Amino acid sequence: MNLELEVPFETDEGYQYIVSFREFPPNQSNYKIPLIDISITLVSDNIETNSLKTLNKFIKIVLEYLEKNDVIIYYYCDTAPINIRQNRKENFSNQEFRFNLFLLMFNKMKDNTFYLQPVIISDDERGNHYTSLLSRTANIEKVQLVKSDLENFNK
Amino acid sequence: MKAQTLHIEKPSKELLEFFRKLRAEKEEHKAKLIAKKETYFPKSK
Repeated sequence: MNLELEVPFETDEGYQYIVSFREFPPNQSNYKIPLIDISITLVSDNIETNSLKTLNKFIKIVLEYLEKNDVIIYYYCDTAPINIRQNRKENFSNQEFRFNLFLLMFNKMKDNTFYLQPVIISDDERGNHYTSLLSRTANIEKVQLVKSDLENFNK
Repeated sequence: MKAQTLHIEKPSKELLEFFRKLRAEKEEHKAKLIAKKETYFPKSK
């Protein structure tokens, strides 16, 4: 079964994106479910400002993929520059900002069909790593297994 | 359905290196996607 997929889309504001799904690492089977890496990449030459409509489009592409494919999606938030309102009280990194937006949009759906496990790894030297594991709620135990492996890897 | 965030505040060297490698690999993949953008978004003549 081919799980690789690239979805191009252009926003109303003219930002061009490619959403890419691929097995990562390829051919692993430790969890009895494929782990899929997703990249949401701005390919046009500008600094993005995400509208709610665009964010909803991202979420829709991801969830449609999950409806069609029984997998765990691994989402490592992009570190590329993003326009953040200047008068924000919080001082987020670009990656943290995307991570928070993604969580916010996901939680707003109030949908129990899918399960999201947010993961943050502190990195004082090079900036924290903001990631999420996302799957159907039926796979909650498998997601927990990946999470446990991360915790065990840290021992 | 959302779980509580797993925040590893004091990661081991091995875990940090794993995630740093992931970040570098993601950047490489992103560069490949950008390089082929005209496949999906051809320039209008």
